[in-house]
Amino acid sequence: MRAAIIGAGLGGLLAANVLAKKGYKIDVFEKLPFAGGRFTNLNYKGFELTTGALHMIPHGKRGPLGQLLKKLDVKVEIVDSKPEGEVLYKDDRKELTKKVAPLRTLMKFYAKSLAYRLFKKDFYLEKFQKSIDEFSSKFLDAFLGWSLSITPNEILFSKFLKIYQQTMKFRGPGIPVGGCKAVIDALIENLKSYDGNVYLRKKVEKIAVKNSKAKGVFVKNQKKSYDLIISNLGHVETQKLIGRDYLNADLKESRGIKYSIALKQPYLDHTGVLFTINTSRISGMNEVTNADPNLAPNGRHLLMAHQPMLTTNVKYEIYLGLKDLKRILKSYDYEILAIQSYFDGWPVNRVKAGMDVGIETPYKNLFVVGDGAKGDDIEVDGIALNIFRLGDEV
Amino acid sequence: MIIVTKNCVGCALCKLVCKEFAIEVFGKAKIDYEKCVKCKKCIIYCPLEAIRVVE
Repeated sequence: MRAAIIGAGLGGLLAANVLAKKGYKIDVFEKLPFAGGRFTNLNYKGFELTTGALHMIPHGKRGPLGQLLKKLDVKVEIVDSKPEGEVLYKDDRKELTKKVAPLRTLMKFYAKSLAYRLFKKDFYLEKFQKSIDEFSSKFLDAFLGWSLSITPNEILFSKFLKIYQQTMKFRGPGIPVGGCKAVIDALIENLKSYDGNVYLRKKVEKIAVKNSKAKGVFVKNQKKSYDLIISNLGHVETQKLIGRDYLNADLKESRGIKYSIALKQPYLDHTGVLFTINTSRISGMNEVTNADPNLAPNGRHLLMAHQPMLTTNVKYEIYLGLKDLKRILKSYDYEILAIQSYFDGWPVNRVKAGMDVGIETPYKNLFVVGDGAKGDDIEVDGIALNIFRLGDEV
Repeated sequence: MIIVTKNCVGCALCKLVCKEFAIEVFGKAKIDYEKCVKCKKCIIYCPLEAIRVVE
């Protein structure tokens, strides 16, 4: 049995490894000259900067991605964060525990959760946000901005509840040693042990379908036949390759801006996330060199900050983000190495968290994976969750 | 001449791979033609095919 994977991003390579383990002969096609998509590193002035994601796995080695890598016997060292998180509020940094939110807010959340479970009446998280204290409301903005690049008016309470449950179950983040690229390199090495192939600069131009089956892919005008096809491009782009719209939903991408910052002295001095809740745009930051010093030149630190994009004016968003950073890092000697904005065809997520429509298509041997078809979890852990589902389906 | 089209979102992959440090990105890529050696690496790495050669 032969399987074609369209796109060598994290979702594509995870799917490739799962299917190779099941006995499929795998060909991965990638249009770019590198594998990893938005989850890998490029070296810039000695710093390992990412093509998209932060050097971070939301639930560390305990979460869906950590578990999947372990199941696949893919060797990646993940440093679990300690502390899991901190909150920066009015120039004061506090460790993130349940005690940082007032008891009254926590009780309200549990009451709403119980009411949802009993009556299944759903609503946007913004409605709950309006009913709580200012600190917790701002923390909610920061958590969603950092982890999902969305705001509370973009996610249903039920979806947030699932993500909250995953977070409580698997806890906080971890940083892969070697950064995102270490995960990608290990997946490729593992795939090669099954005689799988990764072809770079090979763009899939079309998916050939007949009746209810996908028959193969066209690469450089040549048709290649496969028993199974996995697209890592999201449903919208996959439809274009088929030449037929099958979606009934209008799927929107999540947008954000990432800042890679060089420091001579550490700012955070730990491996966890700092949620910044007294800011205009920046929602969080992590200092990845505290987990792996090799992500920066000797004696330097790499701090990564992220903000969701709240308007369509990118330059204005960056202006506000830089203003936040100037205030937060006022007593530090820092250099902005790169400002990277993500939207349209190179977004934070091809589909906003909570809006995903699953991995199935109308074609029984064509599935969609990746950040355009996530499960209910944060970023790459959401991707891994639906790769488990793919493994069950195939 | 190498130009940046309106498809650019400012992901900065071109900046990261440019060995001449000829590209700055602030919402959109901007090429410094004094430094550019026309190696075309930015074109190859651009995920949105937003950088092109024009005559």
